[in-house]
Amino acid sequence: MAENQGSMTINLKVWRQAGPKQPGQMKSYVAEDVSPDMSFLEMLDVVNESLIKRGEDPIAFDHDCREGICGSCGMMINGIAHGPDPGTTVCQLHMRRYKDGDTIIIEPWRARAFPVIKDLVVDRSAFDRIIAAGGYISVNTGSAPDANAIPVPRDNAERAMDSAACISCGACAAQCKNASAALFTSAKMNQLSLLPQGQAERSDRARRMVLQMDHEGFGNCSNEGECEAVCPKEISMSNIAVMNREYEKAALQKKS
Amino acid sequence: MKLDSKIPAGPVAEKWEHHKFNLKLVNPANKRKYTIICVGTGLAGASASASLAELGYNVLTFCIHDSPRRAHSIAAQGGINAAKNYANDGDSVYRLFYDTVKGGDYRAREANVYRLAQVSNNIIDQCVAQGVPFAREYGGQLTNRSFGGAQVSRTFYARGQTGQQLLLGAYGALMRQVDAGTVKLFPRREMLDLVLVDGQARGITIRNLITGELESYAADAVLLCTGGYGNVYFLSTNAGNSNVTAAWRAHKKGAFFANPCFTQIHPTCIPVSGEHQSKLTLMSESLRNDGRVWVPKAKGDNRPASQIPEAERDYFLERRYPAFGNLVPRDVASRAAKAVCDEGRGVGTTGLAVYLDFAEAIKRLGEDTIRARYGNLFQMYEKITDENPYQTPMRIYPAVHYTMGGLWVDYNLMSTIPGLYVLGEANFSDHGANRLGASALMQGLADGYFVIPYTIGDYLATAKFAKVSTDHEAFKASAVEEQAKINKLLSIKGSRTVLEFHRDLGHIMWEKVGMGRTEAGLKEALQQIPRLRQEFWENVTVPGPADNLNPNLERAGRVADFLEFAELLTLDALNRRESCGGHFREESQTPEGEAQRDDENFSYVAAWEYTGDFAKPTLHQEPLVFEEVHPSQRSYK
Amino acid sequence: MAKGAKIFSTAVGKKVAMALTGLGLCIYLVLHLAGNLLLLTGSTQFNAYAHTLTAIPILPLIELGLLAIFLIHIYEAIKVSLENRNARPVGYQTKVWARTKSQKSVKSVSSTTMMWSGIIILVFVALHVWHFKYGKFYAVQPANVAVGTANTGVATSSTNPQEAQEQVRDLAYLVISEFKKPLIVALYVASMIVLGMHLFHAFSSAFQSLGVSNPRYRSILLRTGQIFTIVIAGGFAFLPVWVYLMFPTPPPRNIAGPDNGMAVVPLTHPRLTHTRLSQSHVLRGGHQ
Repeated sequence: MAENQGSMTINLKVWRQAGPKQPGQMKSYVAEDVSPDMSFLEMLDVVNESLIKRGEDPIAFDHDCREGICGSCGMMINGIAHGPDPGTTVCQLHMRRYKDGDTIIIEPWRARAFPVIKDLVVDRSAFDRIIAAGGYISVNTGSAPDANAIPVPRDNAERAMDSAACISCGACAAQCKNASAALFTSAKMNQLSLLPQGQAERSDRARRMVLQMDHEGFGNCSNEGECEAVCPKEISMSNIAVMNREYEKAALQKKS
Repeated sequence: MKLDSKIPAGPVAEKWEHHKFNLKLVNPANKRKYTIICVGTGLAGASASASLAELGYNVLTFCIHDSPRRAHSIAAQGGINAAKNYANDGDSVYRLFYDTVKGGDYRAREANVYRLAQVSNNIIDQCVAQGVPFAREYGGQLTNRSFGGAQVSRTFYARGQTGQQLLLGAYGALMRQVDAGTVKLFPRREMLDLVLVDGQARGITIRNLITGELESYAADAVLLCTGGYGNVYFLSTNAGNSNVTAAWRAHKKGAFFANPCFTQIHPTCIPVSGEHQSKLTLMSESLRNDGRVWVPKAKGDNRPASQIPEAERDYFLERRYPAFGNLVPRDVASRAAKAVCDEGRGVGTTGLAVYLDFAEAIKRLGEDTIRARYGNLFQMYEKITDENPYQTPMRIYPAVHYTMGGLWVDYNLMSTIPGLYVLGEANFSDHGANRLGASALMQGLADGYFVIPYTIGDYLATAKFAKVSTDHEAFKASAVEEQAKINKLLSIKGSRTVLEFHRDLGHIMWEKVGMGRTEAGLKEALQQIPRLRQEFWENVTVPGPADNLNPNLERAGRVADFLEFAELLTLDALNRRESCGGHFREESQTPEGEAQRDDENFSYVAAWEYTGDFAKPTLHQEPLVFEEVHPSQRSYK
Repeated sequence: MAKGAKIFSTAVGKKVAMALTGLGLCIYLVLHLAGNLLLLTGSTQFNAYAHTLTAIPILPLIELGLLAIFLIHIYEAIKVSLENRNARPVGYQTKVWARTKSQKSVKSVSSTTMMWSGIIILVFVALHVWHFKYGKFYAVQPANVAVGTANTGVATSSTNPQEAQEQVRDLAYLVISEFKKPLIVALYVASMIVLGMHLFHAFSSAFQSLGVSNPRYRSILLRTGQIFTIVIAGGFAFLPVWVYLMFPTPPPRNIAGPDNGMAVVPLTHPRLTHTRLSQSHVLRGGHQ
């Protein structure tokens, strides 16, 4: 199979930063014996193995499921979040995408709200706090009516699922020239606003999530759609329009 | 010590109702006086944390990831079972119970399984109310599919991302409590030790993965929701961070480990492509609804699939199991695939793969229909293998996927340590020797939403609690011990990497304690594992800092635990001289080569007690009593 | 008011403010272009239109409103830009447009230069207002008083002091004479290209900010934005080119009339039915 197509040598330039407060810099590495069948992260594994053998600190990067669903991994690859393939997380990017001798530049997500912890690992807890500000339907365990008691039009359920597919990887904010979290925030808001269960808290949710998004220090949306282009789940920027609408309605309703 | 499963008396259908009534309650005003630690934020951990906080308890929730939403439950694809009978096709709580006991090859507790089936319906209600976007009919009602060869359509699903959506529902509920201040969330923390005071679980020692500091937390009860141990095989469909450490450390503190040899091998995974492989990717079981599994009839036939004529193909599942064909349960399909590969008829460069062919289905239904059904899976397959499954058959091979074994718990989900509860995949209770498709999500959420909120109150209301803070000697001793272990790992400075040891362990486990197990092989493994463990502690190298994020150090600790745990798993497999579910002892098979259970001698839960010597744990048996579903040999002919 | 300000202070609110003011300016552009194109029908119509506008009693208020919209737009733009810069204190060493990966992105030269195009437009507008509002005063009789004299362009020919009192600016002459200067035409057209670049992203972006966009209409909205851009920027740019190429050069004139251009008024209402008699060829004839 493909592994017989021979191995490649890849030149890497990777951001290394020992800790949140330490200064960082780009460092060059050579990845040897890279098989085209390897995933991008497996290629980094190989580099790290050689670093460990030399007694050096391996490159830290977040990863977990390696099948594109947990949202842990994410890095700028040659200036694009998650690399060159659309609808793909880094873990699903394969080295057959590259040629022998290629140079690849790897940087962490950059945003005020995503401070670097180490190397390519950033702190994305800002996203959790945005969800905590209202990205749910308040229903205590045990208080739910029968699941079929409230019909949901199929089209709405499907659209809600489109938005709910977000894996919270942070690529949208990382790619956005303004480091805006609009796509992330709006996807959850849209999912819940499409469902009858989500109506009760609709305006409160819109207000609180938008305020939290600002509070975290994300930038504003310039409606360029770079977020959608790098989203591994291809979540539409139309969600952002919905968020804007939800927020406007909420702002007009606000009595206090 | 005698195991008391605390199964309530009475008819199976009434046990849970009676039991709920008999459980002591904690006065609402008193709930806030109790603190509960929850380790893990998968389906079980997130749902338990949220539900307990809603009740008024103080909850401290820990997760290994940067966000609770990344727990590995998120990767479950297929669906979640419930006995709603919305399809009107004859499903019922009793049928779901029956199917699960039978599917588990009669090695699960009836009472637990019945309760699971009972609360399955509440789970769906709860998830829908949370906004989980399940698939729906045009009329707006929920839709179901049949899954894993079930005779009824009882599986609810959200595209191929059911686990993700259920987890996000539970995560939302959890974050709501974080916002309310009732749950304190501690991400990027790894539990290293359970702290006991007066024999009760009263806290944990954790490592802050960012600062490297050890931290202690005290509570009145501890819940372990830390998932399964499939990564003991190195390659599995589990996520990289999935590990046995929390469960294993609790085991070493006195929690019995039950049935560790019950591991599930999933038949449809993308085969290994090379030594660099870091994980295996599951392809949904639903593919077997339309795909036909085959290998060449002749050994060493390495022509491309398209050049092998129909007459020279062996559709071995259809041949061996005419009634169920390609839809036989996971364990049967996996073993059959291994058997043909062992004969030298496997395909692909490694010879460790069989074809899953859609040509016939495409001809019958058209490519568009197949695309509508499996488009995303085909796309994922092509992304990974660079082969187009519409044109060439997929290559698949079994891989470790789920572990039915886990820490022993009673009917209340309490382990043998008072105050230590174990939920979800981390416990052993509901799936017996084999888990049916779409049952794992059900069990995780059942434990967290609908069992623990009732049962933990009984303990808190009846047990006596000494006043304990983290200043207690036990916490200090635990931290000192764990710090010493970390320092030791960093100081060895040997020549082999953690990954290499993990890979070596995986080889041993897969070869000797994998799909087909023999007494000789298991005994060899029991020789090899301690040797590897010894080498690890002499020759591993773990560079990098202790006071900062160091994923390699984290992994070192986990692999060290796998190296201990693997021995117990193997011992359990050696002890169980029968074939049942995912555990296939080659000595115990029918003349046709099918699994041969031995109900007379092995109808029990094997609960192992740590004695300080890995080679000699003490076996405790909890006999399994079947009052409703009478064991019979499974047959899928 | 405080509450209103708070609504507009969030990430969404600021963009809503920008969108509302931006769309307000778009409406103004449409009206302005329609007025400009009246020149094609003749100087008299053009002047009549201009005089009608200046005759509106609350014009200063409207102008102040327009100025406010403009200033809010600029203020929000500056604020948003500064915040955006602040949202990423450490930049990337290498950054490539994601548009190279997926066409889902609508990032363009236009969208990345909004600040620059905005600044150029601001400079243009300042010069433009100075030029046309406070610039040279060529006098003309109000349209309904004497069509003929207007056509001669000789404003001072009137012997009636009362009529002379009613003389107003001949903006048509001003426009035509200015657009006979190649440098002015070139600068003007260049400015309109910049305006087009601004609008190219701005129009559809404003609807997205207001939340009017949805997946079904998104491509229609984008297309509408492009058409709007071409019509507006193209329309504005067309006039000077057309005047330069097709209009005869008007004879030079003295700057005359009241000292203070602002003070001109009041006008009697020009009746378009009346002035329709006047054709542009008459105007041109008058110049020769």
